[in-house]
Amino acid sequence: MTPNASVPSSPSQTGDAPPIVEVRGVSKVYHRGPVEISVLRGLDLSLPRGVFAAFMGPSGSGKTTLLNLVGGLDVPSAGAVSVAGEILAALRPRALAAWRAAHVGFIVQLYNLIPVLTAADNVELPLLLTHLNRKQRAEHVRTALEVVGLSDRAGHYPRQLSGGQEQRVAIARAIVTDPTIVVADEPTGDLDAESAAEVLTLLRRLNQEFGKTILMVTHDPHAAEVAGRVYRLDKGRLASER
Amino acid sequence: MSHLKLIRRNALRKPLRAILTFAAVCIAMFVFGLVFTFIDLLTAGAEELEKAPVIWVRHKISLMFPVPEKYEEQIQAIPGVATCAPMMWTEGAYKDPSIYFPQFGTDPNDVFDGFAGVTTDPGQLAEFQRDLTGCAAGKALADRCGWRVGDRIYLGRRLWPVDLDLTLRCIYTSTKTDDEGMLLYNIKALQEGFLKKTGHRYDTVGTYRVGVETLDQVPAVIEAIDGKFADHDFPTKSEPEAAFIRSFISMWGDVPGIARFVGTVIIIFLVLICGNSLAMVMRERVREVAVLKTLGFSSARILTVLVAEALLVSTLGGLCGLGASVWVAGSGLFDMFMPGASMRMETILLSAAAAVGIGLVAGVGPAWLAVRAPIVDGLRRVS
Ligand SMILES: Nc1ncnc2c1ncn2[C@@H]1O[C@H](COP(=O)(O)OP(=O)(O)OP(=O)(O)O)[C@@H](O)[C@H]1O
Ligand SMILES: [Mg+2]
Repeated sequence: MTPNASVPSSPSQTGDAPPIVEVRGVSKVYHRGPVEISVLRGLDLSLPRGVFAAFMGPSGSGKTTLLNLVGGLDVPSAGAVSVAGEILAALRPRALAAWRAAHVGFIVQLYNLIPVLTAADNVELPLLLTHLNRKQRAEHVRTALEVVGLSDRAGHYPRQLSGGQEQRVAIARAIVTDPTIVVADEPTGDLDAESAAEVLTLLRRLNQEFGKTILMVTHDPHAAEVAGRVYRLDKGRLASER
Repeated sequence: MSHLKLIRRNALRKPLRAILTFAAVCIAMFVFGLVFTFIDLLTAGAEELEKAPVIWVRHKISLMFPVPEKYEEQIQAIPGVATCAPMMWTEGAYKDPSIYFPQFGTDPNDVFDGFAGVTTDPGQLAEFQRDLTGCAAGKALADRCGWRVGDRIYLGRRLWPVDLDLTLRCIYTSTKTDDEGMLLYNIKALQEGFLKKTGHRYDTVGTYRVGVETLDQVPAVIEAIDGKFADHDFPTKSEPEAAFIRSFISMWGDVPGIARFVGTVIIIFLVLICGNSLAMVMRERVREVAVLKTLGFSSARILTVLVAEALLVSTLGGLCGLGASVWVAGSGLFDMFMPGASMRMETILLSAAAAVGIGLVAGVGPAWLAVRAPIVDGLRRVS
């Protein structure tokens, strides 16, 4: 089975629902000494709730930058990002951190997990920021690990897991707080085809069965096929759209 | 899973590194505790002494040289002098060599006059004064050696070619514990033994302890004594008791000053060692810190977790070292300076605070550097 065959694409989404992610005229300029690097240039994007959007584009085109802005890790140089009605630039760092805890699940390409904590403890980390008690947290962790099919690995440390399993634990951690959006930056970038397929199947299930809104950056055309929408970033602009 | 577990796991991430840091703090705080206990002992009661109208007279050049026995009468004749007792430091060998205590040959008739804080039983004192081979011991010393009035105390020859076979006649108490650690005997017993042994009369003494009528007469009496003997073969130097004790201590140099310096150096050293090791730890964590931030951990929360980790290691190490030094200090190490000495509560608290302070000072900087980095930069970092 190729990843392609095992991962059918999700049904196309319509733009009727009110947008959950709204990017308006966003620019991002990095300063490296006297040099200004203009990464995003007046970018607009509007995503409805429940969408699975993939972002593709050449290296350095600003995919990670865009994802970081939507996930509240960075602030735009111009323009505004709002998620679920919240204008992120209006939040102070502490409030922004709290907002991330409540609304965003992050998955990055590599080294998502804290190496000295077991899979279950890693998944529990974001729950430490909630009001859940120990028992409720354990309950949530069990459910999240069940969803990603790693209940039997709860007590394993990251180094005892394969790359694909590590990413699935990271996904469990991203969804355990039931966030508004899930943001994944090349979640399969470092995986072999089979593990990548597992991870993509999982993300698609999250989108279809649990209605999660997912933004994913990928270089892999197969990966993009799972997504309902594919955006192409080039030279700081959203160049094409499917 | 809890914050505490995260802190613990982080601390034990590299067990060898954790053990080395722990050991460094442990050993250093052990030494620190002993050094400061030592300083305490050397400087204890100094303020109280300043108020005692007591003068010590010694040879002008050094404590090592004696002064003539016949000075006693001349000193006693000086206006303002209440009492004058010779104090001859000897160091006879007690049967148990692990027990050290200072011994002085003195004049039982004068020695307790004007001795601030000391209380004697009049009957026992009379016995001490009557018996040529009698002796008096402080209560702390008697308790430590298990002596009771009437016991024989044999002090074998060492610096002096004389064995002293003494009988304990008097046990005195004092408000100052170090004064309770002395053994006093009649200097005549020493002189007679010396005469019998060598055929020579030993007619000098080490020092005189002079009681002055009032505190404000002390300067005048000092001037009178030193003026009187200035042109003799044995010129004197007289000092108030506090200064005398200080100069006795400084026979070996500025010991408290050196000790304090050593203590301070230990702390600075530790901060640097721990700071360096923590800086390494935190550099390796920049990416993890960024991941925690993506999860919504605030900078303040992460900083707390990281500093708590430093505190955990330094406090545990410090408490172990401190425990060891409390134990060692209480087990006879300092008996030579103060029998029954133990670490003062103030010193224990100071040391504990130092251990905590080391963790804080060494931890905050590196942790701040790790937390301060923007998330997006941290995420780009692949460790
Ligand atoms: N913190 C930063 N400081 C300076 N320049 C940066 C910073 N972050 C990104 N850049 C620059 O911005 C540009 C876009 O980076 P970005 O990571 O968004 O690209 P990308 O599309 O994710 O690339 P890749 O596919 O390689 O991950 C690059 O030229 C990068 O060097
Ligand atoms: Mg990228």
